[in-house]
Amino acid sequence: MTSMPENVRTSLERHMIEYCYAVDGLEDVQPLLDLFTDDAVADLTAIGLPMMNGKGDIKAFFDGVFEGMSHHFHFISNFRPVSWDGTEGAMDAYVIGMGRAKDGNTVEVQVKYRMVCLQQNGAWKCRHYTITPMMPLPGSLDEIHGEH
Amino acid sequence: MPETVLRAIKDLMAEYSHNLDAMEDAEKVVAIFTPDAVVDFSAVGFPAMNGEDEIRGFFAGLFPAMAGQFHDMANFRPASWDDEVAIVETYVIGMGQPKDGDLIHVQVKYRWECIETANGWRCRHFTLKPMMPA
Repeated sequence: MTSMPENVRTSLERHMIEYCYAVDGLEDVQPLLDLFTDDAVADLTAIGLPMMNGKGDIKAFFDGVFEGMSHHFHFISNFRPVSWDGTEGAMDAYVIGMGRAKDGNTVEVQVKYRMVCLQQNGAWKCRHYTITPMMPLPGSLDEIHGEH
Repeated sequence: MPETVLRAIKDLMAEYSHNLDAMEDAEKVVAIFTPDAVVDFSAVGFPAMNGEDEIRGFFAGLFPAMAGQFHDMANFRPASWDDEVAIVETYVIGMGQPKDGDLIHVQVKYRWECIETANGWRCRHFTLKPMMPA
């Protein structure tokens, strides 16, 4: 395991938890956007979802997600520090993600998140976010989110 | 919220979960709460309880009816702290198998309002909110 200061580790864990609360809020996309740098990359291609470059792309994707979903639940655990260079820290975590679309379709995935984060003006921000599938993905993931 | 306070409340929540799922002694669940605590499960169709007698009555009645329980917590989040009262939220995957009935499987959010007493940290207001449809 990499050597990451305890306060950085705590901050990154809290950041990833905050992301789950933001994505599960399903009302206001702004708290979610506030967790990312302006030039953040969110690469969800490994689960068949878009590659997003910058906050504009991230906003467009999650505007569509929030519009289409009635319920979200992202249960995050197994935090593991990956790297720390004195400025940027990378953290992995396991996530059980569940969702129900407004049309009644449902989805459940078991994935790994990786967030690379750094501090900007005293606040931690994610500048690179990837999702890796850990169990085979259900077809309903593409049915629900594929068009965003 | 200081890390030490968050840690104390995470420990209290884990103590609740372990004693709830052990289903052996309702007093160990009652001890998690202040004597005047409100435990409100009405959002998922269970009672809202006021004070330790009602809390004791609910859990003492629940345990003999269940064959198994499992409450796993994650996403611990400090919601507020005013140097006295700490509010912490957490996500829970809850499962319960009644001795007579169908498996209950829920995904909910807990919200605990806690204070430090002479006997350590205790919860004085516990609410939960469903996050996925039943």
